[in-house]
Amino acid sequence: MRKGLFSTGATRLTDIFLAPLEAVIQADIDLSERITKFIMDYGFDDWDQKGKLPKLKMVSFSFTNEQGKVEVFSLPVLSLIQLPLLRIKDANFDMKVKMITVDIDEEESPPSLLDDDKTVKLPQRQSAIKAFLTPSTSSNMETMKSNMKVRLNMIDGDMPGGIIQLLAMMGEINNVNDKRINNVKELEL
Amino acid sequence: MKNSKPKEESNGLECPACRFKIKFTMMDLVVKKSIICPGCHLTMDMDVPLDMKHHLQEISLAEQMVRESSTFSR
Repeated sequence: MRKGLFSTGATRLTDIFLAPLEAVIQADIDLSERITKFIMDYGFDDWDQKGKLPKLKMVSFSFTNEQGKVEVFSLPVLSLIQLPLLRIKDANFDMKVKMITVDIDEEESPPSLLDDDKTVKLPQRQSAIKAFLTPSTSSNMETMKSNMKVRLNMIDGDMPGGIIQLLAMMGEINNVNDKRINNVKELEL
Repeated sequence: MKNSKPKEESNGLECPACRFKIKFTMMDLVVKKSIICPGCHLTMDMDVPLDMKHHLQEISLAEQMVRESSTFSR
């Protein structure tokens, strides 16, 4: 016969609290990984090939100067627009938990064949508080089916320090290219 | 890890003629073939690689979905 937790369908209260928290933390980690991959896909060529330095993806610009010559320059795409980054600001869980006391019987050990211990051990009985999620009571049928309300607030995320430094470097590349425009890269029409 | 907001001024293109900082939107890069400096009206042709346009479209769509879901309420 199943005893304790199995008979009630209840679980430890900590597990009930831990499950949604773990899910949110994992979601935030997955989000960061996807953003990183996106930035690398978006801003670099060959970044996933081992032994190769990733190349910046560039956008080329050209214009006709006052002398009627076409000048061409290129800038890293990462320097042109600010990428929107989202992160989870806060998560609210609204759950209704029913707590119950569960008696858990210890397994009875088979009697010893040796006569060295004449005292008979009685089965130990322990009590523990267990819990299970209960549906919220409402006239609305949809909410009766659910037993946890989750609200995630997302905000524009702060950029990791490394990416800020990378973008600052992009700005410097931008300036260097500007200086080069006046000297080189002139194409005759 | 230290996080902070990126500097707004660091993004964009400095006009080679008048040094005006030209700001871009994603749709500028996706749709437009040239950009005009608001400072001196210099017209510059742009060559944005196709795969980059796909990425920019993805971001635009994601931003649109975020905007829509931010007003979503059951």
